[in-house]
Amino acid sequence: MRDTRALILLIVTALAAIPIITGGTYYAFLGIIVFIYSIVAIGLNILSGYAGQFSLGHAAFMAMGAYTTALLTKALATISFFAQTGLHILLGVICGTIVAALSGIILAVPALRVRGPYLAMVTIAFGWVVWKILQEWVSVTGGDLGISSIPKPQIGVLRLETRSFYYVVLALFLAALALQVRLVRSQFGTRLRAVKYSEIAVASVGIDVYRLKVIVFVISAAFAGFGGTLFAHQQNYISPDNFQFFSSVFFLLAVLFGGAGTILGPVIGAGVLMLLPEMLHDFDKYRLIVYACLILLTLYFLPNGVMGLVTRRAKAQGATDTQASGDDQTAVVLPAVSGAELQIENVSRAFGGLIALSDVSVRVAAGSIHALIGPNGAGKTTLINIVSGTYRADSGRINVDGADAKITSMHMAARQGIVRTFQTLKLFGNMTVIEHVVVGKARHSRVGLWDALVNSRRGKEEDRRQLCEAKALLRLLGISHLERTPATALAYGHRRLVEIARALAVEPRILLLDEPAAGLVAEEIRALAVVIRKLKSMGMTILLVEHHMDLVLAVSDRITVLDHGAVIAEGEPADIRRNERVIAAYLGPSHAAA
Amino acid sequence: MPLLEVDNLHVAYGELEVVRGVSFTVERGEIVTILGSNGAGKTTLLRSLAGLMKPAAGRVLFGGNNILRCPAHEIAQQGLAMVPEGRQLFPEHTVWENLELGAYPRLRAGKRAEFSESLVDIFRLFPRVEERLEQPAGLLSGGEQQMVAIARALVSRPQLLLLDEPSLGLAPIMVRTIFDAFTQLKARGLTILLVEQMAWLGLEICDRAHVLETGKIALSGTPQELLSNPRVMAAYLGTPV
Repeated sequence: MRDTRALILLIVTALAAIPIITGGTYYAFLGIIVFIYSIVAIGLNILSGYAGQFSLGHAAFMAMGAYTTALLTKALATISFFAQTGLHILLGVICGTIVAALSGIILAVPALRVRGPYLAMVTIAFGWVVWKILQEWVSVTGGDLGISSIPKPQIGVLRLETRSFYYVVLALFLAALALQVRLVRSQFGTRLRAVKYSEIAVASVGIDVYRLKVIVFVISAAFAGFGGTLFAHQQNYISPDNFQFFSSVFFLLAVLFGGAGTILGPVIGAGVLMLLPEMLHDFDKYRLIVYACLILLTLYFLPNGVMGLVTRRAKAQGATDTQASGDDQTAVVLPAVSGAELQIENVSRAFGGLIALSDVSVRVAAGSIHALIGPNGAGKTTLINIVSGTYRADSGRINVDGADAKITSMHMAARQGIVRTFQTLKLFGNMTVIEHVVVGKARHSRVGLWDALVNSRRGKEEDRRQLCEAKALLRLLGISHLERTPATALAYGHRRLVEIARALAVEPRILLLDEPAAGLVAEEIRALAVVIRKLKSMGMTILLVEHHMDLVLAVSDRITVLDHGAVIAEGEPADIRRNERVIAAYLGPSHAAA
Repeated sequence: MPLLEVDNLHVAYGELEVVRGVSFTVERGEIVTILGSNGAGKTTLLRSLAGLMKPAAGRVLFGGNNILRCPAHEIAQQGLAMVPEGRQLFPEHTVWENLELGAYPRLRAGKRAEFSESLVDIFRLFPRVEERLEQPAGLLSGGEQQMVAIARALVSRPQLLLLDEPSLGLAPIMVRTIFDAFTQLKARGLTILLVEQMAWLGLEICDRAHVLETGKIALSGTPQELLSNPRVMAAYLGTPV
């Protein structure tokens, strides 16, 4: 900690010394441009590096900021009040940032309905449209000639020449960097990173993923717009050429080159990609080729960017998956839950011609453990998907405590207290075990984006409280020794337990467990049985899909058996294991004898 | 000479050593089972034998050749086939296409007749696979998918079959079917190295078993010996009540 602080101080001092040491304005000018581009790249990093939403249209947001402030300050500069106080610059920068953020909303609301390559395409189109408008709307934007004699930066009456502006931009750049750090290290940032790995799992804990993505898109656009306003005042002249498609590509490259999803990645990327062409002046003719080769080689040899080299070293430690935890699971105290009654009424669902569920009704009593068993392909997971809002039923109703739950989406189901785990694990990549649980806590978190940005005391206290609760859940599941282990380094069975911990963090009233014991050994299954019983004793209603019959028979109050999408038996465990139809379809003769 | 001889194998993820000096042999025609709790290194061990991970040190002799650090496709061509955890079929390809991909080296060498021959054997073992040939593998039930995954490994005509958690997520009746198939495969002379969490099952069909704990072999023996060991009983067998 002390070392990093000293290092930061050293680097900042070095940056501050650049204009003094080098004299002249050339290096100060280069520095300003690097800082401005870094601010834009930081914004893109939050969106693409952390949240995994790729944009190839960020130059357009930069243009929004630049043109807004250019037009506004030029108009206001004629009024002597503004010209004397320099307020027009301040106003221009603020308005430019806001306009960029607003255009971010306009793009994000429709564009974020699509993902991955489609989102990238939409942003490319957006960038193109903005660029075309700048070219064609001559009366306002000046067309290809652009806007010249944009007011020079000034604070109050003080006009800033290049070297003093350097310090202002340096400070703003450091502020942007600090903002990024706060954002990504906050709970908001943890949720953001989770979105990159599994939107479905994020939705399953009650987070409105779409809204979250729109918010982060707007933040990202605001960073770009802000960078754009600084750019306009620095250059005094802007034209559509500054904001071409290639500029957007440049920013994404900077993020990938430096290391997407790392704090310093975008800065290193923007710095190197910006300064390199300057250094390659001597090669003039071959400049672009050298530039392209360098980028290709880096992306090939350093798939995680320059920062990937640094973090790879650091990451190797920490994982201690091989020791047992020694947690005393029975000692963990968790708050009581008021479990709800779940009533599945006449639910049907078909996929094309395949009938997955036909007229299925199951009543799960409040606070009971109800098992759902049946052969592979019987429709168990489909039923869980419908109850949890992952799919819609073709017909039928889901009642919670007697009232129609009207489940329309996963996050709405979670907000009604229906939370699931996934049979096909949906964990958040290399995020740590504890971070998974923190994401699960989102619905009960009283801190939001604002607390993260201002680093409020309330936010920090809330973080601490949630961390405490999250740790208790890990102890309950016997995996507290894996707290800091990335999910990718976990053994299969432990991943299952992380799924359960994340679901429990939502404090469900109805918990849907989809094959929680798959991949566990007998001792671990026994521990799981203890956990499931404990959850029941807290009052939770549990619907359990499971193939380990020992577990099912030991913990269930009632069992429903599905086959080919229909209920073939329902009753108490003792009856089910003797039921002829169940033996024929599911258990097989050996199990019945046992 | 044993078919597979693993000698002092070490495998690590970065700095974290997961397999720490494991040695054992598998003789031709036997089934060897590896038991162990989560994180003990079982999957890592299998993956490194199949060439999917680079071991840090040790020796792996397969049919007398050292295959340590050989690329995965070469190991597969030498006759070591793996059925991975979670099946890993190509979900949008039909069952038939999945099988063809499994026999890729053989088909490329123009030995379609051999492929058809192995299919006859496989369909006798799993009639369900034949019924489903034209369907996309992703639409099959979990049990059928596991059968296809095993069939895909078998069409490469392996000498040694590595099975990682074949019972995972399967209904009891389906687990029975699959494990019966292993016994039949053994009777036909196939050698099997099995990793299985459901220890009863794993011990029931094997000739010898090893218990892996924190990356080392803690216990070895015949199924009878392990079944009478109280430690094994407590950790891997017993009933979950």
